[in-house]
Amino acid sequence: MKKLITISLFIFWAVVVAVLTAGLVFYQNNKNTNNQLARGNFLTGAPIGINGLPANSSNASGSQAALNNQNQTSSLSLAEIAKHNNSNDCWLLINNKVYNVTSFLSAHPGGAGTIIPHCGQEATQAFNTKDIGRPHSGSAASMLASYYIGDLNQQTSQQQIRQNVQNTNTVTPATRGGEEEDN
Amino acid sequence: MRKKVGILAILILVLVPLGRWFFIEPLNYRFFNFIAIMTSIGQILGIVGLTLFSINLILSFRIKIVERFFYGLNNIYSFHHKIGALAFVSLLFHPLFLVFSYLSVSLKSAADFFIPFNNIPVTYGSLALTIMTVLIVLTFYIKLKYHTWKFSHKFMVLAFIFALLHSIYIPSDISRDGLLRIYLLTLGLIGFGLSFYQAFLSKLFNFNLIYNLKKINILNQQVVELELEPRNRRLKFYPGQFIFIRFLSGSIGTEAHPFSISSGSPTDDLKIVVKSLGDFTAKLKDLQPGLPVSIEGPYGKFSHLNILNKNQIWIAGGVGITPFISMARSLADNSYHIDLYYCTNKPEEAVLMAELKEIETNGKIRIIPWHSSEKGYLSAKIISELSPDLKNKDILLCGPAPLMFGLTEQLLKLNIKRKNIHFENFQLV
Repeated sequence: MKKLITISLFIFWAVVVAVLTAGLVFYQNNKNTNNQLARGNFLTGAPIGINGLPANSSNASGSQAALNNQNQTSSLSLAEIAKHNNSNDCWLLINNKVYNVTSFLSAHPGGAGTIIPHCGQEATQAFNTKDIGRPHSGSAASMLASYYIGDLNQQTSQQQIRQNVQNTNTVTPATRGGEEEDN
Repeated sequence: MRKKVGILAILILVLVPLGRWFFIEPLNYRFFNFIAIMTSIGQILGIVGLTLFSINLILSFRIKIVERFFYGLNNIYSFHHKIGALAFVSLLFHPLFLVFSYLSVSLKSAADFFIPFNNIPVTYGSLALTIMTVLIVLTFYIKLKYHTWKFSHKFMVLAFIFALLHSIYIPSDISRDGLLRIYLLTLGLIGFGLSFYQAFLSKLFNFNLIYNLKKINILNQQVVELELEPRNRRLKFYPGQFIFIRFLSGSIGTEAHPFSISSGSPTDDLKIVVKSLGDFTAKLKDLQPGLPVSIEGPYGKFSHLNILNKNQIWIAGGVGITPFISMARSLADNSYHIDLYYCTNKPEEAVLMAELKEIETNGKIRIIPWHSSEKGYLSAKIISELSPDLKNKDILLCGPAPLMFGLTEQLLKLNIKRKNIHFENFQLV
């Protein structure tokens, strides 16, 4: 038993120290690159938040594509959202905004199982109360913003939606540190 | 067989919440990719750890019914030791598996997870683990004086309060599922209540028998025999059992300490033989007669009466003679055939030898003194030579752990069946 405890204590502290150190190093690096990015945007005067998208999920090619495909518009209707109702393709409607959280499912600290039942549905209540009457943290709300793809019933080009979905499928909300910097 | 009932009960208590956990959500939600599997393992470890922690608090409460399930308090304490270690390890790995989901978000969020005071429910968990770690280190790695250690270990209850708060306030299956919550909370509150009472309140109430210290017989430089007389009711016990004694006043402190009874049963005056090993036992010989003593018990199953076979070998090492003296004093009929090996380093260390010799003349028992300074350590081979037909005898051992375990191993090599070897482990913790 003593051996088991010794090994466990060793692994525990090794992991904790490793994660804390790596986290600190990563945070420093991230802070630098984000500062550079912010400065770059300011200098070039690139449009931020076009079509209601937050800066971090929008990019120049996306907004360019939106301009090119203005004729083929589509609506983010409830019916459309309802199609994305499983763990391989999960959209949520929160405060009339549509989020594609597919890539976030497995990263959810409360477990994917808490989100999956809400896929393809209105989930404002669930998000605000975590189903247990307690709100998510501010950082959770800012992470959610990374998965935004549009507003409910917003008329957007299909190309734009596809692009946003693609963006949110590959997003790693690692910009969290950066977002806190922006505030 | 009885012991297995206890293990089975613990297993069921752990499997029930796990079973419930498996049915709260479809399993493909829980195990659909690597991160989800890690998170699920982390959650399982949390539930198992908390359940084992609760069970362990219940086991720390000295209660006769539970003792019956485990065939003796010593067994309970040895279980308590193992279950405590398992609970601690489960709870240590609980956050390590959960950190995978944060790592998949970012290293920073994973680092945040380990920094206290970011998130109150997580902080409860960290506090619980920190307190547990300190107390486990004190238990497993640092040899504290018994009563200092015992005092420190009471703070496990505090660690448990934080663990329970963590499990209530953290968003999880426990907070979402009523059944799981009710189960874990009920078990937790029972554990908390019993252990809190045992650790902090049991001194305030006395439901135990009260004896007075009657006489202190100094047997040699290190060993004293205490004689206790009942104030009103007397203790019912069978020879070989032990009691917890607690002095209700005086300079010796009011913690309860376990000792084997050395008087025969039935008897009015209780006798215990004590070798000064620690602080407490060293102070005993300076006590004044007349002190009130609380007697809790009796506990233990170590007795010749619990063994059907009446051909027995008793092997005592040093002060481990105590329960055998009680048994020898209680031998009423002549149906027993007993060889008692009394191992000490030197002849003068063999206390109460005169009395044993007197019992020997009655023909119920043969005493074989063994002094290792003259003849070397007693071995199973010597026993088999001096006591023929060993295979058809039951062997009872009581003494220092190296003697008991060393001899047990040798006896097993001589094809003695394990079920025929019985021992009393002095070291309760």
